[in-house]
Amino acid sequence: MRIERMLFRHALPCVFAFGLMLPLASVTWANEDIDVAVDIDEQNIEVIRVTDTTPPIPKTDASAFSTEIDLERYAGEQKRLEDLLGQAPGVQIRRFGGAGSLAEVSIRGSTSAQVVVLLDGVKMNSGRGGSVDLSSIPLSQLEAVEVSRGGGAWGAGSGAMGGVVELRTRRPDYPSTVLSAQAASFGTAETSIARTQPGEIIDIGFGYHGFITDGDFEFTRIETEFPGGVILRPSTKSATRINNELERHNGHINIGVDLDHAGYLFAQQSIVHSLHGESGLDREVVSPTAGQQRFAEQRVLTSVSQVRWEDIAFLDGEVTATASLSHRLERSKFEDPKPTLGATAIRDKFDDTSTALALRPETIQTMGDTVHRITGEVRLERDRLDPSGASSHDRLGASVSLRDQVLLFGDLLTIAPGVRFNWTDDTGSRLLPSIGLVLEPASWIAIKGNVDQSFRNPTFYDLFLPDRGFASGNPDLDPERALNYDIGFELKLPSRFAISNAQIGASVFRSDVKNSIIWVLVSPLKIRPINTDDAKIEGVELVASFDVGSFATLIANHTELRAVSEPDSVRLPGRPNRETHVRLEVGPPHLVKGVVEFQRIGSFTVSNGGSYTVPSRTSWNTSVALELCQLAGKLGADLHLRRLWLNVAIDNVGNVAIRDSLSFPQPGRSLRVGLEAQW
Amino acid sequence: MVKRTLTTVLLISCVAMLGNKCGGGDGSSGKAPTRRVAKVDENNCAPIVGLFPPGFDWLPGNDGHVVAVQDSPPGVLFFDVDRNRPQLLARDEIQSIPVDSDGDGEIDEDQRLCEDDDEEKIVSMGAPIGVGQSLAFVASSGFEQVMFFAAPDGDLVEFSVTNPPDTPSGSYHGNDYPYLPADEDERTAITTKACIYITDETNVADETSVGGSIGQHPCCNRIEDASSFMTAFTAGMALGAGHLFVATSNLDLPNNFIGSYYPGTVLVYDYDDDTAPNQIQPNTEAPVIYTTGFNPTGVTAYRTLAGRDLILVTNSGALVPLVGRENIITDSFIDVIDAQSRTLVATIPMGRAGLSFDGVSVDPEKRIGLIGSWTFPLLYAIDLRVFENEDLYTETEVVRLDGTQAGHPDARIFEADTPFEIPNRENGPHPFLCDGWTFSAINEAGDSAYVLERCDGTLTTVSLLDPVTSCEAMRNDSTCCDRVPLPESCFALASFQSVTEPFNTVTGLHGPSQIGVRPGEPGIDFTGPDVLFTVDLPEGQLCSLRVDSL
Repeated sequence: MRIERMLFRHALPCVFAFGLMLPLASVTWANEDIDVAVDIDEQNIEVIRVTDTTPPIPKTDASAFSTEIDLERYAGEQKRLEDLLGQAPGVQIRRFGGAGSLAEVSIRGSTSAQVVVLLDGVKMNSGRGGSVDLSSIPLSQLEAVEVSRGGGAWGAGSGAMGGVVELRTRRPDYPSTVLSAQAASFGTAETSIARTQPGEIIDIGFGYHGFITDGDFEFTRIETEFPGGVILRPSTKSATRINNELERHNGHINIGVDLDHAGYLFAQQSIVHSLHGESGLDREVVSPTAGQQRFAEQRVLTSVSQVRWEDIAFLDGEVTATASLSHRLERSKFEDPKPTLGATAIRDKFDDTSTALALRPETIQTMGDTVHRITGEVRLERDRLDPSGASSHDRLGASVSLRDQVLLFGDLLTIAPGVRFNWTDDTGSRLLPSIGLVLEPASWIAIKGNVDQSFRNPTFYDLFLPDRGFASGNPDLDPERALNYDIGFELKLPSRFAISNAQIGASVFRSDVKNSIIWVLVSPLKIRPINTDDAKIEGVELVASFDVGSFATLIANHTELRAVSEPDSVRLPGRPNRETHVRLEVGPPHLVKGVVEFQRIGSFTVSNGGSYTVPSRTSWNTSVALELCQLAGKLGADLHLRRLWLNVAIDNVGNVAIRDSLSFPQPGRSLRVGLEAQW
Repeated sequence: MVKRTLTTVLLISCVAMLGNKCGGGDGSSGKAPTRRVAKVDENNCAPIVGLFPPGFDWLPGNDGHVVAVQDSPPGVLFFDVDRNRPQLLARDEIQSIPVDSDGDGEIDEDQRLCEDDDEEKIVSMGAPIGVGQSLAFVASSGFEQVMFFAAPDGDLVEFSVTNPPDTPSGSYHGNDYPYLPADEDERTAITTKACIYITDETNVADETSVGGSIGQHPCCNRIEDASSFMTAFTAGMALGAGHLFVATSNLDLPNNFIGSYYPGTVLVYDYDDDTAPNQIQPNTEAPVIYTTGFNPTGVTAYRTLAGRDLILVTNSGALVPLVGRENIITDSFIDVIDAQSRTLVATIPMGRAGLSFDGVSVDPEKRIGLIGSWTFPLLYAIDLRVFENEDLYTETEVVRLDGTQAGHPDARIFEADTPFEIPNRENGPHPFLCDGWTFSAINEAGDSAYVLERCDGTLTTVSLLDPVTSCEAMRNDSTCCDRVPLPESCFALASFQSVTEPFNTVTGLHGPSQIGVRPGEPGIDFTGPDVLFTVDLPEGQLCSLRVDSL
């Protein structure tokens, strides 16, 4: 196994790249330039002015504060999905280790289980714990990433209290191949290929992503400062992250068939397999290894399958619909042959499955002076948890939702009322109203606001985790509920001097959360979940971006957050009070891209009582990417590729000690070198 | 040209990829990551970093100074408690426990007794005992030992630790303590990891608390074909008659979630503080005393009116972390050891009480010993006057002080079948979350007991009626106060107050545990608070309370 890992890490990227690139390097574009000469008699040309009288159509979810991440901007940088999401306003990524380690998303101070992550419309949230490991979703498979901030229960149902992350895999409707390989510090290597090929009858897309890392990095252990400045330093200043190896393989295949007037049939299958060590937290015991677990490991197999029938026309095309049947399976095996203090070996295995059948009709209707975009959904779903050595649990659910985005006074005002009726067999039914508003007095300004209700059902682990002595579920838990509000504006500023494409946005948000489910220690050896005090989360998001000439782009966002538990206003743990992200890109476009990223994360508490805080920290990343095809072209050579990026990046340039939301250590400075080819 | 270019690029990339062992940083630039501990809003609490602080004790002869232990990270803190808010004595830096915690020159984690044994590392700390004006002993588990700490910074102190020669009688074998030095060495701890062999001579059943037979520990091979186990989970300790008595709970950890324990033991050490450095070694005549019940936890030193030093050992009984009566598997006992002779002289059967781990709190008037319950809001009590009977110490067998043996009265006032009930708080937590845990202390005047209830976050004052006046008044019977055990009517609920939030909160202070009363007369011997208690959650605290002191 060790030899195979070495081969994979060192030789496979080269062999793979070399083997594929040579025979394919001769591929030329399907479309060739055609020279046509036309004589024009300018005297006799009749000028016809065409005026578009089609009424404007309400945009999908116009009132949402959302960020569509321009993946093209990051071409060649070989970033990870969680890196890109983390730079969006209002989004916080909680990392539990280095590259490839568990990474969860929080939006507007939510927990990670309060954010729904959809992959081509399939909910990826685990039925066990409710959250999604973003590190298991390779960016190379995606063509679009969008983050909607604020309650999204109308569209996404249970769990969308903080927001929704929508990921779309590459559609096989245009020909493309992307091949990349990257090596990085701490014994990390990854490679991927993604190919999409439309055909006369069948469109096919497929991809593979492999990732491997030793994951063992040195980290500086945390000091404790008492009131008055007395310091307790750990017995060893630093320790090594041990048992942090990871090997992960992702594969996917998408097949599409154009049914002409009957719509488009789309089928997809993706599989992820990972094997990784579970070293745990620095348990602050007296030990050079910081009390990490040496032998615990987890093996996870995730399969997502979907058949989707799109653009189904009803009523002479007045109504179009999408029908989908999806299935998600997560099979997880955890083993620790030698837990702490010689307790008996732990072996846990379970299957977590979700099946959903959905129909989403949509119609656009003009009624008088108003235009209505009416969307709905009827959905049936079943979740199931099969743990080893314990009872299985099922949850049946059904929901009906309806939203009418109404355009008034031309495109001046959009009102979007909506409602969702949600039912599950264990937590009962609820009605979730929502309303959104967009005011666009001019093309360069939009003022938006939303009020909506959202909720999250307790997960199977929250409810039914078998009492193994150290943890047990609580079958009496109530669902979490929230009332969300936000209001803000977006401006597109006219170009001035060398500044162009300038955009500014700001929003204020608030969420009143009830029945928060929190796992609490009830004894030194036991945790249990309870519904706890109300929470109030409020904040401000600021966004700005602009280009300087054609050689530089600046993107910045800043979020202020106050997340407290009522009634005593104790700060909720793990939520920084502010975050700032700034990204500067310089260089002639598509030739050289120099990037500097600045990140400042404010202080956050790491205990339920709010007494322990980790102070704010600043970190820098930098990278340089060369587009070798363009470069070769300038030198008179032709690489016969659309693009070939060579990227060198340094993350955490300052080598500062980074502790994430639960005080998990992160690596220091690290280097990445990679190649990405496209044709 | 094309192929040359392409090949060059690929070669560069291969070199880059092959060179991926370029390493990475360790995050050591700039300030080390720091966790700052804020003051608590309550003006009478000082933070003890981590959760579930193991405990505290007074430093004898050093009024107003207390030693407390924190568990994560492990450390020892010394406080001045003359003010309302306990104040750390350390000024700049608190000494953290080094990776070679016993000072033997080897990193703890690198030590293994044998191939089948696990690596040693301190995983949890035990409650401390104040030994001198600026000296405290603290036990640790994971790496079983008792460490020696000095005020004010919690520095480890070196003692002379000796491994005595084997005795001809066979009562002591140095090899049974694998981590003792070969001869004499200066160490910062003494091991409490010992091989225990079950033989006919030891008079201990070859069974765990759940009836399983005890096998042979792979690292204990001095006696072939004898059942053996290694002591584990060092618990309470106390000094008496020049000896240190250390209880080890001996959890059968791989099976502990069904409540399996090996027989309980108390390890005995000779301790001499008249030398410099202090000396400590296993006692060779009675190095191990077997307890009557399973899971010995709290240990209390007690001196009778006649001046006899006794050691009271709480046998909590085998417990499982479940809810309700089902979590108590075996009976509880309070064992009585004569510190001078180092023998178990008596035991007080308390039934399925699930006695709390903090040890018996004794009445300065030497009448009553109190102890709480691990899992219910209940209080138990014994009559200490039974220990004044000198015949107790001349019996050849262990005496059961439950009224079944002639010449020895029943010592039990409240036991499992007849407990003293602590009232519940109205908005207390659901039993699913926390069903009960009581801790007790008796004031200096001996007329009140303070009972902390962990789940409710309450302090109940139990009036210990003056037997002389109350017994006569209530029963018109002047012999009432002579009755042993003391009548139940001498205990009455006096007052009830909340000291923390109940256990169903998350952010507020909750889970008070371990209470202690300051020695001396409030207002005369000291002016500061007279009662201290620890709080478990959401962050550990040491809090003070003025009950009798104004």
